[in-house]
Amino acid sequence: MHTGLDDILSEAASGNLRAFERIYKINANFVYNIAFRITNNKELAEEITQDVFLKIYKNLKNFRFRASFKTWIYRITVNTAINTLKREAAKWGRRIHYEEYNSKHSAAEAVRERLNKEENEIIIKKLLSYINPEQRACVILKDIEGLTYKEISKTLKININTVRSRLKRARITMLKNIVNINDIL
Amino acid sequence: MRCQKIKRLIIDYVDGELNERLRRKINSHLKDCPSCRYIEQTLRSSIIEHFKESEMLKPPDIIWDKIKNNIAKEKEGKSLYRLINYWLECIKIGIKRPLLFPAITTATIVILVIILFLGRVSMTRNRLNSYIEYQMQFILRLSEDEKDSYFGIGETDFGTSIEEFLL
Repeated sequence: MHTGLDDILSEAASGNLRAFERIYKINANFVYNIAFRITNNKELAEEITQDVFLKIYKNLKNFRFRASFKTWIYRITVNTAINTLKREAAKWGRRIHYEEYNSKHSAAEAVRERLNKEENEIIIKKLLSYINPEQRACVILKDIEGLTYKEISKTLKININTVRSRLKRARITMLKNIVNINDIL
Repeated sequence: MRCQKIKRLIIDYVDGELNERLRRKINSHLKDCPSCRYIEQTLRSSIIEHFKESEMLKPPDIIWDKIKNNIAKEKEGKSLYRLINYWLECIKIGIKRPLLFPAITTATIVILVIILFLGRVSMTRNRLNSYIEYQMQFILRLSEDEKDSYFGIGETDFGTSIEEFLL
C-alpha cells in the first residue's frame, strides 16, 4: 500500500475529517457504482454509499493496515448492498425485483443494435436483472472492477470454487436469456 | 480436447483463470471448432464486453454532506454522553462530601443559565460542551484535592498572580 495513503488512513482514524474526506473522494465512485449495479436503484445506492462510509469511519481504528484497504471497502460495500436489498425485500414482504428498463426491445434485439453508452447501460441492467444479488456481486467485481477469482474470494470471504460456480451460473443464465440456445453450456 | 470439456472450462478461459497449458489447448480447439468459438465469442461480446464498457457513475455531492452531518451528530452525542457522566459524578461527590454541595449546586445553576441564554446567543454547541466539560473536570479535580486540604494550595493551580497573592 502506498505510504501516503497509510498516512491519510492514520489521520482519518484519529478523527481528522479532512483526511476522511480525501478517503471519500478517492473511493466514493466505485462504492456508489457497485451499490448501484447491485440494487439498480439510485436512492438505495446513495443510502448504501452513506452507510458504507459511516461504517468505514467508525471502524477505521480497527482496520489492520496489513489488509488491503480497497478489499475491505469492497467487502463492506457488497455486504451492505446485499443486506439492504434483503431488508427492503423483508420490508415489502416480497423479493425485490431488479427494475427492468422500459425498453421495448428484448435484450437479444438490443445486443444487435449499434452500441452507445445509453444502450450499453440498458443492456447491463437487463443482464444483471437475470441473476441473483450474490451472483451480481461476483460479476460486478470480476467484469467491472477487474478482480481475479482469488481476489473476489478474499474480498467476499467465500471459497474460490464458490466464486467460480457463481460466475459460471451467472454467465449461463445471462447467456440463455439473450441467445436462443438452451444447451449452450 | 473434446467440445464437452471446452464447455466446462470456457468460463475460466474467458476470465483468464486457466494455466498456460490449458489455455493453449483451448486456443487451438477454438481455431478448428466453430460451435465452441461461437460460445466463446458470444460470451465475450454479448456479456463481458458490456460490463467492461460500463459507464462510471458519479455519486451526488449531497452524499458527502450527509456523511459529514452524521459524523458531527455522532460526535455531539458522544460528548453529551460524557457530559452527563461528569455531571452524575459531580452529584455523587456532592452527596459524599456535603462541603462541596453548594459549589456543585452553584456550578449546575451557572451551567444551566449558560445553556439557556448564552448558548443560544454566542457559543456554538461544541464550544459550549467543551466549556461545560472543563467546568465539570474542575469540580472533580477540586474534590480530589480536598483529600489533602480543602482548598488544596500548592496542588490546585489557579493560574493567576492575584489569586496566588491573596491565597
